Amino acid sequence: MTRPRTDDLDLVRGTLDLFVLKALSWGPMHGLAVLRWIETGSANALQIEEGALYPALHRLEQKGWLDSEWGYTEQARRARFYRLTLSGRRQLASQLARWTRYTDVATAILQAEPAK
Amino acid sequence: MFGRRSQRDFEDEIKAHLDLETERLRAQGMSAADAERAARRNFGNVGVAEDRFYHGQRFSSVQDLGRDLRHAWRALRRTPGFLVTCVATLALAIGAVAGMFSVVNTVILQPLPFPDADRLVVVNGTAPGSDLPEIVGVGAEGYLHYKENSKLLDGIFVFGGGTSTFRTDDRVERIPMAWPSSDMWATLGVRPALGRLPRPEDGDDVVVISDQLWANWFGRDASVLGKYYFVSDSMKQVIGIMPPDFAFPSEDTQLWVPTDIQLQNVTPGNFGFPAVARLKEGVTREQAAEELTRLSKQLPERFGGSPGYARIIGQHSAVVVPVLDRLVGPTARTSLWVLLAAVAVVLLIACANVANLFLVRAEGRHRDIAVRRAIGASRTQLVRFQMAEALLVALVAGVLAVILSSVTLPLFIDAAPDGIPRLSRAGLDAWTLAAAFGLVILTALACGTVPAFRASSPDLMRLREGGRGSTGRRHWGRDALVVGQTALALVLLIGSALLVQSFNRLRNVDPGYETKDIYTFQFAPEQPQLNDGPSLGRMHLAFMDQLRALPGVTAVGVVNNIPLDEGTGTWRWVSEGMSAEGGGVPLDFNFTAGDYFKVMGIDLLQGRTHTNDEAVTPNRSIVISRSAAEKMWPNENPLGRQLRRVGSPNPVFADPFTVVGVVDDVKQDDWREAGEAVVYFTLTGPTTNIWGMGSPAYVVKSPRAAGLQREVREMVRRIAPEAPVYREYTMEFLAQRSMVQLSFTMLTLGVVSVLALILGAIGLYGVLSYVVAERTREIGVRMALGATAANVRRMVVSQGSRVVMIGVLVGVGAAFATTRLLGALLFGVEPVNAVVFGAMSLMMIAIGLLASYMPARRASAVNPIESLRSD
Repeated sequence: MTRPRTDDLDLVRGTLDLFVLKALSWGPMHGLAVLRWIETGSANALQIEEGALYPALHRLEQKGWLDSEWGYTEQARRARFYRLTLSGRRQLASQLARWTRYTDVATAILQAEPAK
Repeated sequence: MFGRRSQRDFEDEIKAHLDLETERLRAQGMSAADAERAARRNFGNVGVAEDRFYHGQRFSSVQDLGRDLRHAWRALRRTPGFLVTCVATLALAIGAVAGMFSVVNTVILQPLPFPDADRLVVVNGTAPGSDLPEIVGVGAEGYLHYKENSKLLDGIFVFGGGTSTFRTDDRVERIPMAWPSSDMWATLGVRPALGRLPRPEDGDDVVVISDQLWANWFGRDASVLGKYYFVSDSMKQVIGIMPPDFAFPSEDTQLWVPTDIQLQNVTPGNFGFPAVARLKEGVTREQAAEELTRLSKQLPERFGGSPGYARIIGQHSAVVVPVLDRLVGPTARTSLWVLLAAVAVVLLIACANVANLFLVRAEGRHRDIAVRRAIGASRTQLVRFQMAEALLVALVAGVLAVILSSVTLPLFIDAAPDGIPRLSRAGLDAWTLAAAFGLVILTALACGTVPAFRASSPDLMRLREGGRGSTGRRHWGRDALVVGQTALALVLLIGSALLVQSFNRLRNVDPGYETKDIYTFQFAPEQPQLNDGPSLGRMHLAFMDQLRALPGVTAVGVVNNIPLDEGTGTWRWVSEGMSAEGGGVPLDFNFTAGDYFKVMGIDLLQGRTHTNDEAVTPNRSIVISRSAAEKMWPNENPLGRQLRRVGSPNPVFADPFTVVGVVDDVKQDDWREAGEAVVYFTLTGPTTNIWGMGSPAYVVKSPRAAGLQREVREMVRRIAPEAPVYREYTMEFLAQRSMVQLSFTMLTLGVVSVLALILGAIGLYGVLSYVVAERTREIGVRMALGATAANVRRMVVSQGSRVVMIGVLVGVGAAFATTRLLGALLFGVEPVNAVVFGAMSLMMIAIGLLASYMPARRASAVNPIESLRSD
């Protein structure tokens, strides 16, 4: 069985960004933790390829939505930690709103009965 | 923390990520190694991620070539097969071009190491319509007259060159030396590094020696200056030592005996010497030739001479050419240029192959590139990245090429024929390195440009198709590359086939003598009792008897100028009925004794050869060659007829010589030329003192020819310990040597064209393989619809052969236009030869078909079901 890979464009550009922002809204994380968070959150239905994740992190950072610095994990391992900036938090809010609106609309369409 | 992060930082981050993941997996109970492997596997392709990071950098505005290269290196390392193929192909080709360039540059392009060398010219003459050779020297009278009267020359000198004896207290050898007039030093603008220049009062009793001779014979001991040694014919004083880079007239000249021409000794009409002159600033060669031609017309008036001489002068004009053109003869020059052109063609073919590989690779990465563009890499960045890959491949190839040619260049120089001036100095100098670097850049541009632009503009639609086109797209770009390769390879093939044929023709020429089982050598005795023709003749006859007593030796003879090693002199002759007014007929002359004709297998056609008695007593018997007989007495019996030499002031020649025998013609210097008309004298002439053959060439017929050297040296040491033994060869060696220019060029061009053929075939194979791979689905559909394996094979092969046929047509056209450049090297075969052109074209087509058949077989093995499912 093949699992859905998520490095295709739509996810890379849209959904993945949203996932990352959301993950970081819980507090600073390093890349692996972001990955685990998404995978756990999707009950392992989604697998994010690291090769897509890191460029996404950097893209978001360059847009000014994330901030990053080197730090240490609980196991005293060195890692780069990302956290949301203020504008990142605003971005998350607006993207979440858009996403919710979109899924509502989409759901409504998909569940609509044929017109009488 | 905003802004750009460094690539290094990003790599660190990935490493950290992998560490964390490994740790996590270990915590779940995996072994360390498994955990690490799993972490890497989970991550996917580290390099791809790094590349994506790199290309996603939206603010990368700095033109950071180093970074581009570092990235290209990563990308290349992921496809080692591609990297190795490209680098190896280019390294071979660049190395060959760089090596040949260094040879051509050193030998032909670099000016000679004299001040203002571009003003140095060789002066010769030509007299079309006369019976003189096409180009003749200036002669003593011309030299003196030019020197005194020319307004356009800044000095002129004449020189003779050859080998002669040099003897110190404990060593004697024949060494290459020259007899220049003493104005050589001033004209060339050189002077001894040590010691002084010759002065007029020195006469010919002084010598200037080479740096090499100084080092080898005297260990660079400066006390050699002022000492006397035996040179050529008398004791001479060493007055100077030339600097190491001075090599004139030939590369190996060891010693110069200043020999000035005395006005009172001039006999007009011996156009014997080449002259070298320095043009005044701003004077062209045409102006100088015009002035010297005008001056030459005054010669008969000033120096007298026969009516024949006056007639020749009437037709005479001076020929002025750059000195370098003269030093590097036309065959060597042609060979070097042809070889350089050939390796350049190989480089072109190699570039085409590598460009092709890049194109295929770019196709394969289409999807990846589309993703990169999608995540923000600009087109410029992508082009730059692709070019960086090409540049990197070319750079690595360039470095390897330099190493390669530093190893192979000495081998090439070693194998090259002797006598190409300055060849031994060819090496990896700054010029060559600069050229190699230039080639690297050009190669990178040639290999990278098209693929880079093609690949950087992918239609994003292809991304949706999964990057796999299912229709046969037109590949005209690649087809054009294959057409070019095929054409170029065919031109080289035809060129080398012409040389092979020339070589075969030349080898099968009958020179008029045999070369098998003959040993030849010379020695130069200097003994007071050996002072005339008879005494020297007796000495040689006695030594020939000793040699004949050696086991395995069947016959022995001597000759003054042995074919293939020495040219013969020319005198002018009249027969009984002819008038000397006409100037006589030029015939070469030579001297023999013993069983010379028998040893060499030269047929005696009429009469007899000289007797041993004639070799030691004054006589006027001559043996002439067939074409001499035909020139003097066409269709008549020459036996008993008489010949008289004209143009000599010596009264001995007032009386005629009698023909006692006729032998077949021989080709003296060059098997390409017709046999020569020769008059053979024996060791003693009409009087005891007219000539003495001090050091003729011995010819020894024996199956042991190749192994006689030590015995012979030992025998010479017993009878003449003072005499150097030299020019020790087998005739077979001399025959090979005479053809080495051609055989060397032939071999090198042969190797180069086979290389071109292989590269061309690989190129075709690569293109077709790729096309087949790309059309797998289409082929599957066709087969599912009922096409047989044979249909599919035919389809692929016909696609390949179409391209090859066009290439062959283009190649034949190009060969028509270019093979005449081989002119000076060809023998007995026309530059445009239907058989050669046809055979090579067929071979090219056959190889093209073979190269297409392999991909075709693969195509016909496609499983329709799988090919359809593979999407």
